[in-house]
Amino acid sequence: MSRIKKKFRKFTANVLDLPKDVIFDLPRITMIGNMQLYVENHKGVIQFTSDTLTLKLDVGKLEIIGKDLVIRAILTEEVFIEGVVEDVKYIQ
Amino acid sequence: MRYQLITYFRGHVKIVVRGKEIERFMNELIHNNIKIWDARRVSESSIEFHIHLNDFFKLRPLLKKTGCRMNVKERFGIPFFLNKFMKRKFFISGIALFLIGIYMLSTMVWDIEVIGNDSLSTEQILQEAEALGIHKYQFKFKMDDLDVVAKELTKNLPESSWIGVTMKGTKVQIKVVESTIPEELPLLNPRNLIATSDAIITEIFAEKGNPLVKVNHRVKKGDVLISGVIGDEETQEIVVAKGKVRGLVWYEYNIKVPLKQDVKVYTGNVVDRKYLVFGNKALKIMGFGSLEFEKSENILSKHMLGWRQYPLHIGWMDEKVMESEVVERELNMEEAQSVGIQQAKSDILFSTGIDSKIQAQNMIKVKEKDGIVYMKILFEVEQDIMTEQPITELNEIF
Repeated sequence: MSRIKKKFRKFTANVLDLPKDVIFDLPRITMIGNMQLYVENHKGVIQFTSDTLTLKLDVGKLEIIGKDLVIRAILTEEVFIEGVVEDVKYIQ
Repeated sequence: MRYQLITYFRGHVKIVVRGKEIERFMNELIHNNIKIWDARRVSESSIEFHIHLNDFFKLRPLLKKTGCRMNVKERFGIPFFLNKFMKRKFFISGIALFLIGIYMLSTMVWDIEVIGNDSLSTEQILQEAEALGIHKYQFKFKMDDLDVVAKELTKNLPESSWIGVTMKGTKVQIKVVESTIPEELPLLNPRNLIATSDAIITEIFAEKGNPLVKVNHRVKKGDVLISGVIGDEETQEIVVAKGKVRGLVWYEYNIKVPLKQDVKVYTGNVVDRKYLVFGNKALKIMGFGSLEFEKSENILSKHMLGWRQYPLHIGWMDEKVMESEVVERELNMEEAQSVGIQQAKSDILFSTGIDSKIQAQNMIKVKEKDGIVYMKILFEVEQDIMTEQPITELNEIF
Protein backbone atom coordinates (compact mmCIF):
# COMPACT_ATOMS: atom_id res chain seq x y z
CA MET A 1 0.00 0.00 0.00
CA SER A 2 1.22 3.39 -0.85
CA ARG A 3 1.82 5.90 1.88
CA ILE A 4 -0.97 8.19 0.78
CA LYS A 5 -3.42 5.33 0.68
CA LYS A 6 -2.32 4.25 4.12
CA LYS A 7 -2.72 7.70 5.53
CA PHE A 8 -6.12 8.06 3.99
CA ARG A 9 -7.25 4.82 5.48
CA LYS A 10 -5.94 5.73 8.89
CA PHE A 11 -7.77 9.00 8.64
CA THR A 12 -11.12 7.33 7.76
CA ALA A 13 -10.64 4.78 10.50
CA ASN A 14 -10.19 7.57 12.99
CA VAL A 15 -13.04 9.68 11.69
CA LEU A 16 -15.55 6.86 11.39
CA ASP A 17 -14.26 5.06 14.51
CA LEU A 18 -13.96 1.73 12.65
CA PRO A 19 -12.02 -1.24 14.01
CA LYS A 20 -8.51 -1.33 12.70
CA ASP A 21 -8.63 -4.85 11.31
CA VAL A 22 -11.27 -3.81 8.82
CA ILE A 23 -9.24 -0.97 7.47
CA PHE A 24 -5.79 -2.49 7.47
CA ASP A 25 -5.42 -6.16 6.69
CA LEU A 26 -4.62 -7.02 10.29
CA PRO A 27 -5.33 -10.34 11.93
CA ARG A 28 -8.02 -10.49 14.58
CA ILE A 29 -7.14 -12.96 17.29
CA THR A 30 -9.80 -14.19 19.70
CA MET A 31 -8.81 -16.40 22.59
CA ILE A 32 -11.15 -18.23 24.92
CA GLY A 33 -9.21 -19.06 28.04
CA ASN A 34 -6.26 -21.08 26.95
CA MET A 35 -8.40 -23.66 25.22
CA GLN A 36 -9.65 -22.10 22.02
CA LEU A 37 -8.17 -19.62 19.60
CA TYR A 38 -9.62 -17.97 16.51
CA VAL A 39 -7.40 -16.22 14.05
CA GLU A 40 -9.02 -14.25 11.26
CA ASN A 41 -7.20 -12.78 8.31
CA HIS A 42 -4.31 -15.21 8.17
CA LYS A 43 -2.46 -15.86 4.96
CA GLY A 44 -1.61 -19.55 5.27
CA VAL A 45 0.11 -22.15 7.41
CA ILE A 46 3.89 -22.12 7.71
CA GLN A 47 4.34 -24.86 10.28
CA PHE A 48 1.97 -27.17 12.05
CA THR A 49 2.93 -29.65 14.76
CA SER A 50 1.12 -30.67 17.92
CA ASP A 51 3.22 -28.09 19.84
CA THR A 52 3.37 -25.16 17.49
CA LEU A 53 1.36 -23.56 14.79
CA THR A 54 2.92 -20.81 12.75
CA LEU A 55 0.63 -18.75 10.58
CA LYS A 56 1.65 -16.39 7.85
CA LEU A 57 0.24 -12.89 8.12
CA ASP A 58 0.07 -9.91 5.82
CA VAL A 59 3.05 -8.51 7.67
CA GLY A 60 5.16 -10.97 9.64
CA LYS A 61 3.87 -14.16 11.22
CA LEU A 62 2.04 -15.46 14.27
CA GLU A 63 3.42 -18.30 16.33
CA ILE A 64 1.14 -20.21 18.65
CA ILE A 65 2.87 -22.48 21.16
CA GLY A 66 1.01 -25.04 23.26
CA LYS A 67 0.21 -28.70 23.67
CA ASP A 68 -2.03 -31.07 21.74
CA LEU A 69 -2.96 -28.43 19.22
CA VAL A 70 -5.71 -29.40 16.83
CA ILE A 71 -7.02 -27.39 13.91
CA ARG A 72 -10.73 -27.70 14.37
CA ALA A 73 -11.42 -25.88 11.14
CA ILE A 74 -9.44 -24.01 8.58
CA LEU A 75 -10.72 -21.73 5.83
CA THR A 76 -9.07 -19.27 3.50
CA GLU A 77 -9.10 -16.49 6.08
CA GLU A 78 -9.90 -18.20 9.36
CA VAL A 79 -8.37 -20.80 11.62
CA PHE A 80 -9.97 -22.27 14.70
CA ILE A 81 -7.53 -23.97 17.02
CA GLU A 82 -8.20 -26.10 20.10
CA GLY A 83 -5.77 -27.42 22.68
CA VAL A 84 -3.73 -25.99 25.52
CA VAL A 85 -2.43 -22.63 24.32
CA GLU A 86 0.63 -21.46 26.23
CA ASP A 87 2.06 -18.66 24.15
CA VAL A 88 1.06 -16.45 21.26
CA LYS A 89 3.93 -14.66 19.60
CA TYR A 90 3.68 -11.94 17.01
CA ILE A 91 6.80 -11.91 14.89
CA GLN A 92 7.30 -8.87 12.70
CA MET B 1 -19.70 -27.30 12.22
CA ARG B 2 -17.90 -30.52 12.96
CA TYR B 3 -20.69 -32.98 13.14
CA GLN B 4 -23.73 -31.59 11.47
CA LEU B 5 -26.42 -33.74 10.07
CA ILE B 6 -25.71 -32.54 6.56
CA THR B 7 -22.09 -33.56 6.90
CA TYR B 8 -23.25 -36.98 8.00
CA PHE B 9 -25.56 -37.28 5.01
CA ARG B 10 -22.92 -36.19 2.56
CA GLY B 11 -20.32 -38.47 4.08
CA HIS B 12 -16.82 -37.67 5.19
CA VAL B 13 -13.51 -39.49 5.58
CA LYS B 14 -10.62 -39.32 7.97
CA ILE B 15 -7.35 -39.43 6.06
CA VAL B 16 -3.68 -39.46 6.95
CA VAL B 17 -1.31 -37.49 4.75
CA ARG B 18 2.40 -38.23 4.79
CA GLY B 19 5.10 -36.10 3.22
CA LYS B 20 7.72 -33.44 3.80
CA GLU B 21 5.74 -30.43 2.70
CA ILE B 22 2.55 -30.93 4.59
CA GLU B 23 2.12 -27.24 5.39
CA ARG B 24 2.31 -26.44 1.71
CA PHE B 25 -0.29 -29.05 1.04
CA MET B 26 -2.54 -27.47 3.66
CA ASN B 27 -2.13 -24.06 2.10
CA GLU B 28 -3.05 -25.57 -1.26
CA LEU B 29 -6.20 -26.96 0.32
CA ILE B 30 -7.10 -23.53 1.67
CA HIS B 31 -6.49 -21.93 -1.67
CA ASN B 32 -8.68 -24.45 -3.43
CA ASN B 33 -11.45 -23.83 -0.93
CA ILE B 34 -11.39 -27.38 0.37
CA LYS B 35 -12.71 -27.51 3.87
CA ILE B 36 -10.91 -29.70 6.39
CA TRP B 37 -11.43 -30.10 10.11
CA ASP B 38 -10.03 -31.81 13.19
CA ALA B 39 -6.52 -31.68 11.81
CA ARG B 40 -3.77 -32.93 14.10
CA ARG B 41 -0.16 -33.95 13.89
CA VAL B 42 0.28 -37.68 14.19
CA SER B 43 4.02 -37.93 13.69
CA GLU B 44 6.94 -35.90 12.35
CA SER B 45 5.91 -36.35 8.77
CA SER B 46 2.18 -36.96 8.85
CA ILE B 47 -1.09 -35.30 9.83
CA GLU B 48 -4.59 -36.61 9.92
CA PHE B 49 -7.78 -34.66 9.22
CA HIS B 50 -11.39 -34.99 8.12
CA ILE B 51 -12.63 -34.03 4.71
CA HIS B 52 -15.94 -34.13 2.87
CA LEU B 53 -16.41 -37.03 0.54
CA ASN B 54 -16.88 -34.89 -2.57
CA ASP B 55 -13.77 -32.85 -1.70
CA PHE B 56 -11.84 -36.06 -1.31
CA PHE B 57 -11.66 -36.59 -5.06
CA LYS B 58 -10.11 -33.17 -5.60
CA LEU B 59 -7.13 -34.13 -3.45
CA ARG B 60 -5.20 -36.09 -6.05
CA PRO B 61 -3.69 -33.27 -8.09
CA LEU B 62 -2.79 -31.38 -4.95
CA LEU B 63 -1.03 -34.44 -3.52
CA LYS B 64 0.95 -34.85 -6.72
CA LYS B 65 1.88 -31.21 -6.70
CA THR B 66 3.26 -31.30 -3.17
CA GLY B 67 4.64 -34.85 -3.27
CA CYS B 68 2.54 -36.16 -0.39
CA ARG B 69 0.90 -39.53 0.06
CA MET B 70 -2.43 -40.25 1.56
CA ASN B 71 -4.30 -43.10 3.28
CA VAL B 72 -7.95 -43.31 4.20
CA LYS B 73 -8.30 -44.19 7.86
CA GLU B 74 -12.03 -44.12 8.54
CA ARG B 75 -15.25 -43.57 6.65
CA PHE B 76 -18.32 -41.87 8.04
CA GLY B 77 -21.82 -41.06 6.84
CA ILE B 78 -24.75 -42.26 4.85
CA PRO B 79 -23.00 -42.89 1.49
CA PHE B 80 -20.69 -45.51 3.06
CA PHE B 81 -23.50 -46.99 5.07
CA LEU B 82 -25.63 -47.32 1.97
CA ASN B 83 -22.76 -48.84 0.09
CA LYS B 84 -22.26 -51.48 2.76
CA PHE B 85 -25.96 -51.98 2.98
CA MET B 86 -26.44 -52.49 -0.73
CA LYS B 87 -23.91 -55.29 -0.71
CA ARG B 88 -26.11 -57.41 1.54
CA LYS B 89 -28.54 -58.60 -1.10
CA PHE B 90 -30.40 -61.16 0.92
CA PHE B 91 -30.93 -58.73 3.74
CA ILE B 92 -32.38 -56.17 1.36
CA SER B 93 -34.55 -58.69 -0.38
CA GLY B 94 -35.76 -59.80 3.07
CA ILE B 95 -36.77 -56.27 3.94
CA ALA B 96 -38.52 -55.89 0.60
CA LEU B 97 -40.32 -59.19 1.05
CA PHE B 98 -41.36 -58.17 4.54
CA LEU B 99 -42.79 -54.87 3.32
CA ILE B 100 -44.59 -56.57 0.46
CA GLY B 101 -45.91 -59.20 2.86
CA ILE B 102 -47.22 -56.60 5.28
CA TYR B 103 -48.86 -54.76 2.44
CA MET B 104 -50.45 -57.88 1.03
CA LEU B 105 -51.70 -59.01 4.41
CA SER B 106 -53.19 -55.61 5.10
CA THR B 107 -55.09 -55.69 1.83
CA MET B 108 -56.83 -58.88 2.86
CA VAL B 109 -60.09 -59.29 4.69
CA TRP B 110 -59.36 -61.07 7.94
CA ASP B 111 -62.63 -60.82 9.75
CA ILE B 112 -66.28 -60.16 9.11
CA GLU B 113 -68.33 -58.75 11.90
CA VAL B 114 -72.09 -58.65 11.94
CA ILE B 115 -73.70 -56.32 14.43
CA GLY B 116 -77.22 -55.26 15.17
CA ASN B 117 -78.91 -58.48 14.13
CA ASP B 118 -81.40 -59.92 16.54
CA SER B 119 -83.78 -62.28 14.84
CA LEU B 120 -81.65 -62.71 11.74
CA SER B 121 -78.88 -65.20 12.40
CA THR B 122 -75.30 -64.18 11.77
CA GLU B 123 -74.77 -67.28 9.64
CA GLN B 124 -77.64 -66.28 7.37
CA ILE B 125 -76.21 -62.81 6.84
CA LEU B 126 -72.72 -64.20 6.27
CA GLN B 127 -74.11 -66.63 3.74
CA GLU B 128 -75.79 -63.83 1.80
CA ALA B 129 -72.61 -61.78 1.99
CA GLU B 130 -70.62 -64.75 0.73
CA ALA B 131 -72.94 -65.03 -2.25
CA LEU B 132 -72.13 -61.38 -3.01
CA GLY B 133 -68.42 -62.06 -2.81
CA ILE B 134 -67.60 -60.99 0.71
CA HIS B 135 -65.80 -63.65 2.65
CA LYS B 136 -62.77 -64.09 4.80
CA TYR B 137 -59.22 -64.36 3.45
CA GLN B 138 -59.69 -62.53 0.20
CA PHE B 139 -58.22 -59.37 -1.19
CA LYS B 140 -60.08 -56.17 -0.66
CA PHE B 141 -59.69 -55.09 -4.27
CA LYS B 142 -61.44 -58.24 -5.43
CA MET B 143 -64.64 -57.22 -3.68
CA ASP B 144 -67.36 -55.17 -5.28
CA ASP B 145 -68.04 -51.64 -4.21
CA LEU B 146 -69.27 -51.88 -0.64
CA ASP B 147 -72.23 -49.55 -1.26
CA VAL B 148 -73.47 -51.85 -3.99
CA VAL B 149 -72.97 -54.88 -1.77
CA ALA B 150 -74.91 -53.20 1.03
CA LYS B 151 -77.80 -52.46 -1.32
CA GLU B 152 -77.85 -56.03 -2.62
CA LEU B 153 -77.75 -57.40 0.90
CA THR B 154 -80.70 -55.27 1.98
CA LYS B 155 -82.58 -56.55 -1.04
CA ASN B 156 -81.73 -60.19 -0.36
CA LEU B 157 -82.60 -60.04 3.32
CA PRO B 158 -86.18 -58.77 3.50
CA GLU B 159 -86.22 -58.98 7.29
CA SER B 160 -83.75 -56.13 7.44
CA SER B 161 -84.71 -52.57 6.73
CA TRP B 162 -81.18 -51.30 6.26
CA ILE B 163 -77.74 -52.87 5.97
CA GLY B 164 -74.48 -50.97 5.93
CA VAL B 165 -71.17 -52.51 4.94
CA THR B 166 -68.00 -50.72 5.96
CA MET B 167 -64.34 -51.57 5.89
CA LYS B 168 -62.46 -51.09 9.13
CA GLY B 169 -58.85 -51.89 8.43
CA THR B 170 -58.83 -55.57 7.67
CA LYS B 171 -62.32 -56.10 9.08
CA VAL B 172 -65.59 -55.89 7.20
CA GLN B 173 -68.35 -54.64 9.40
CA ILE B 174 -71.93 -55.42 8.42
CA LYS B 175 -74.39 -53.30 10.35
CA VAL B 176 -77.93 -54.56 10.28
CA VAL B 177 -81.05 -52.67 11.22
CA GLU B 178 -83.92 -55.08 11.39
CA SER B 179 -87.44 -54.23 10.50
CA THR B 180 -89.95 -55.28 13.11
CA ILE B 181 -92.41 -57.78 11.72
CA PRO B 182 -95.72 -58.11 13.55
CA GLU B 183 -96.08 -61.24 15.60
CA GLU B 184 -97.91 -64.01 13.90
CA LEU B 185 -101.15 -65.05 15.49
CA PRO B 186 -101.75 -68.72 16.15
CA LEU B 187 -103.95 -70.34 13.53
CA LEU B 188 -107.32 -71.35 14.88
CA ASN B 189 -110.03 -73.65 13.67
CA PRO B 190 -113.62 -72.50 13.45
CA ARG B 191 -115.02 -73.11 16.89
CA ASN B 192 -117.73 -72.58 19.44
CA LEU B 193 -117.10 -71.61 23.02
CA ILE B 194 -118.86 -73.91 25.49
CA ALA B 195 -119.19 -74.06 29.26
CA THR B 196 -116.73 -76.10 31.28
CA SER B 197 -119.11 -76.63 34.18
CA ASP B 198 -122.54 -75.78 35.49
CA ALA B 199 -122.64 -72.10 36.31
CA ILE B 200 -124.55 -68.83 36.39
CA ILE B 201 -123.24 -66.34 33.87
CA THR B 202 -121.93 -63.14 35.42
CA GLU B 203 -120.21 -61.62 32.46
CA ILE B 204 -120.23 -62.32 28.74
CA PHE B 205 -118.33 -60.51 26.05
CA ALA B 206 -118.35 -61.87 22.53
CA GLU B 207 -115.49 -60.48 20.48
CA LYS B 208 -116.41 -62.65 17.55
CA GLY B 209 -119.32 -65.01 17.15
CA ASN B 210 -122.88 -65.15 18.27
CA PRO B 211 -123.54 -64.99 22.04
CA LEU B 212 -126.29 -67.43 22.96
CA VAL B 213 -126.58 -66.72 26.67
CA LYS B 214 -127.01 -63.64 28.79
CA VAL B 215 -125.94 -62.55 32.25
CA ASN B 216 -127.74 -64.45 35.04
CA HIS B 217 -128.55 -67.33 32.72
CA ARG B 218 -127.98 -70.74 34.21
CA VAL B 219 -125.90 -72.98 31.97
CA LYS B 220 -124.99 -76.62 32.13
CA LYS B 221 -121.66 -78.15 31.36
CA GLY B 222 -121.24 -78.36 27.57
CA ASP B 223 -123.76 -75.66 26.68
CA VAL B 224 -122.73 -73.41 23.81
CA LEU B 225 -122.01 -69.93 25.13
CA ILE B 226 -120.73 -68.19 22.04
CA SER B 227 -121.49 -69.80 18.72
CA GLY B 228 -119.11 -69.74 15.82
CA VAL B 229 -121.98 -69.76 13.35
CA ILE B 230 -123.13 -66.27 12.50
CA GLY B 231 -125.75 -64.90 10.19
CA ASP B 232 -129.22 -66.11 9.44
CA GLU B 233 -130.20 -69.26 7.61
CA GLU B 234 -129.67 -67.77 4.17
CA THR B 235 -126.29 -66.17 4.65
CA GLN B 236 -124.37 -68.18 7.11
CA GLU B 237 -120.71 -68.03 7.97
CA ILE B 238 -118.60 -70.03 10.30
CA VAL B 239 -116.01 -68.09 12.29
CA VAL B 240 -113.64 -68.59 15.17
CA ALA B 241 -115.68 -67.67 18.20
CA LYS B 242 -113.73 -65.42 20.52
CA GLY B 243 -114.69 -63.78 23.76
CA LYS B 244 -114.79 -63.90 27.49
CA VAL B 245 -117.41 -65.60 29.62
CA ARG B 246 -117.34 -65.68 33.39
CA GLY B 247 -119.72 -67.41 35.70
CA LEU B 248 -120.35 -68.46 39.26
CA VAL B 249 -119.40 -72.08 39.95
CA TRP B 250 -119.96 -74.04 43.16
CA TYR B 251 -117.41 -76.27 44.72
CA GLU B 252 -118.02 -78.58 47.65
CA TYR B 253 -115.02 -79.45 49.76
CA ASN B 254 -114.62 -82.12 52.42
CA ILE B 255 -111.69 -81.20 54.63
CA LYS B 256 -109.94 -83.03 57.45
CA VAL B 257 -107.70 -81.13 59.83
CA PRO B 258 -105.96 -82.91 62.78
CA LEU B 259 -106.00 -80.87 65.98
CA LYS B 260 -102.50 -81.95 66.95
CA GLN B 261 -99.83 -80.72 64.59
CA ASP B 262 -96.08 -81.11 64.50
CA VAL B 263 -94.20 -77.84 64.19
CA LYS B 264 -90.49 -77.43 63.73
CA VAL B 265 -88.89 -74.76 65.92
CA TYR B 266 -85.37 -73.58 66.61
CA THR B 267 -84.12 -73.94 70.14
CA GLY B 268 -81.79 -70.98 69.90
CA ASN B 269 -78.58 -72.96 70.21
CA VAL B 270 -76.22 -71.96 67.45
CA VAL B 271 -72.72 -73.04 66.50
CA ASP B 272 -70.76 -70.84 64.10
CA ARG B 273 -68.21 -72.31 61.78
CA LYS B 274 -65.91 -70.47 59.46
CA TYR B 275 -64.12 -71.76 56.39
CA LEU B 276 -61.54 -70.48 53.99
CA VAL B 277 -62.53 -71.30 50.43
CA PHE B 278 -60.09 -72.00 47.62
CA GLY B 279 -61.85 -72.81 44.37
CA ASN B 280 -64.34 -75.47 45.42
CA LYS B 281 -62.40 -76.66 48.45
CA ALA B 282 -63.08 -75.35 51.94
CA LEU B 283 -60.78 -75.34 54.94
CA LYS B 284 -62.36 -75.09 58.36
CA ILE B 285 -60.70 -72.45 60.50
CA MET B 286 -63.25 -71.96 63.31
CA GLY B 287 -65.90 -74.02 65.10
CA PHE B 288 -64.18 -77.33 65.68
CA GLY B 289 -65.62 -80.02 67.90
CA SER B 290 -68.42 -82.49 67.50
CA LEU B 291 -72.02 -81.36 67.41
CA GLU B 292 -74.29 -82.14 70.34
CA PHE B 293 -77.49 -81.34 68.50
CA GLU B 294 -79.95 -84.10 67.76
CA LYS B 295 -81.51 -82.24 64.87
CA SER B 296 -80.06 -79.21 63.21
CA GLU B 297 -80.21 -77.02 60.17
CA ASN B 298 -77.29 -75.43 58.37
CA ILE B 299 -77.28 -72.02 56.81
CA LEU B 300 -74.33 -71.38 54.50
CA SER B 301 -73.21 -68.02 53.23
CA LYS B 302 -70.29 -67.78 50.88
CA HIS B 303 -68.24 -64.64 50.26
CA MET B 304 -65.98 -64.86 47.26
CA LEU B 305 -63.40 -62.22 46.46
CA GLY B 306 -63.10 -60.80 43.01
CA TRP B 307 -61.71 -57.90 41.13
CA ARG B 308 -64.25 -56.19 38.88
CA GLN B 309 -65.94 -58.99 37.01
CA TYR B 310 -63.06 -61.42 37.43
CA PRO B 311 -63.52 -63.96 40.20
CA LEU B 312 -60.43 -64.72 42.25
CA HIS B 313 -61.66 -68.13 43.48
CA ILE B 314 -60.67 -67.23 47.01
CA GLY B 315 -63.05 -66.36 49.78
CA TRP B 316 -64.54 -67.38 53.06
CA MET B 317 -67.70 -69.16 54.10
CA ASP B 318 -69.81 -68.82 57.24
CA GLU B 319 -71.82 -71.78 58.41
CA LYS B 320 -74.49 -71.42 61.04
CA VAL B 321 -75.63 -74.68 62.61
CA MET B 322 -78.93 -74.12 64.39
CA GLU B 323 -80.44 -76.73 66.64
CA SER B 324 -84.03 -77.48 65.87
CA GLU B 325 -86.69 -79.67 67.45
CA VAL B 326 -90.17 -80.75 66.60
CA VAL B 327 -92.86 -79.50 68.95
CA GLU B 328 -96.38 -80.78 69.00
CA ARG B 329 -98.94 -78.03 68.96
CA GLU B 330 -102.60 -78.31 69.81
CA LEU B 331 -105.05 -76.28 67.72
CA ASN B 332 -108.43 -75.16 68.95
CA MET B 333 -111.50 -75.53 66.77
CA GLU B 334 -111.35 -72.05 65.26
CA GLU B 335 -107.73 -72.36 64.29
CA ALA B 336 -108.33 -75.76 62.78
CA GLN B 337 -111.19 -74.37 60.71
CA SER B 338 -109.20 -71.44 59.38
CA VAL B 339 -106.36 -73.78 58.48
CA GLY B 340 -108.78 -75.99 56.58
CA ILE B 341 -110.44 -73.09 54.77
CA GLN B 342 -107.06 -71.68 53.80
CA GLN B 343 -106.02 -75.01 52.33
CA ALA B 344 -109.24 -75.32 50.35
CA LYS B 345 -108.99 -71.76 49.02
CA SER B 346 -105.48 -72.18 47.73
CA ASP B 347 -106.50 -75.47 46.17
CA ILE B 348 -109.37 -73.76 44.32
CA LEU B 349 -107.25 -70.89 43.08
CA PHE B 350 -104.66 -73.36 41.90
CA SER B 351 -107.15 -75.37 39.85
CA THR B 352 -109.29 -72.53 38.46
CA GLY B 353 -106.62 -70.01 37.61
CA ILE B 354 -105.46 -66.63 38.77
CA ASP B 355 -108.47 -64.74 37.38
CA SER B 356 -110.92 -66.53 39.58
CA LYS B 357 -112.39 -64.93 42.65
CA ILE B 358 -113.95 -66.62 45.64
CA GLN B 359 -117.20 -64.77 46.11
CA ALA B 360 -118.62 -66.66 49.07
CA GLN B 361 -117.96 -69.58 51.33
CA ASN B 362 -120.46 -71.51 53.30
CA MET B 363 -119.65 -73.90 56.12
CA ILE B 364 -122.19 -76.63 55.85
CA LYS B 365 -120.99 -79.07 58.47
CA VAL B 366 -118.30 -79.11 61.20
CA LYS B 367 -117.60 -82.17 63.34
CA GLU B 368 -114.80 -83.23 65.66
CA LYS B 369 -113.93 -86.83 66.10
CA ASP B 370 -110.80 -88.53 67.53
CA GLY B 371 -108.79 -85.29 67.45
CA ILE B 372 -109.62 -84.62 63.79
CA VAL B 373 -111.94 -81.87 62.57
CA TYR B 374 -114.14 -82.81 59.62
CA MET B 375 -115.57 -79.93 57.58
CA LYS B 376 -117.80 -79.60 54.58
CA ILE B 377 -117.60 -76.21 52.86
CA LEU B 378 -119.33 -74.82 49.81
CA PHE B 379 -117.41 -72.23 47.81
CA GLU B 380 -118.92 -69.90 45.26
CA VAL B 381 -116.24 -69.02 42.74
CA GLU B 382 -116.40 -66.58 39.87
CA GLN B 383 -114.17 -67.86 37.09
CA ASP B 384 -113.66 -68.23 33.35
CA ILE B 385 -115.99 -70.97 32.23
CA MET B 386 -115.50 -71.25 28.50
CA THR B 387 -113.55 -73.77 26.51
CA GLU B 388 -113.38 -74.32 22.80
CA GLN B 389 -115.28 -76.81 20.74
CA PRO B 390 -114.22 -77.14 17.11
CA ILE B 391 -116.97 -76.85 14.52
CA THR B 392 -116.73 -79.90 12.35
CA GLU B 393 -119.11 -80.63 9.53
CA LEU B 394 -121.00 -82.97 11.82
CA ASN B 395 -121.66 -80.14 14.24
CA GLU B 396 -122.80 -78.02 11.38
CA ILE B 397 -125.30 -80.53 10.20
CA PHE B 398 -126.52 -80.95 13.73
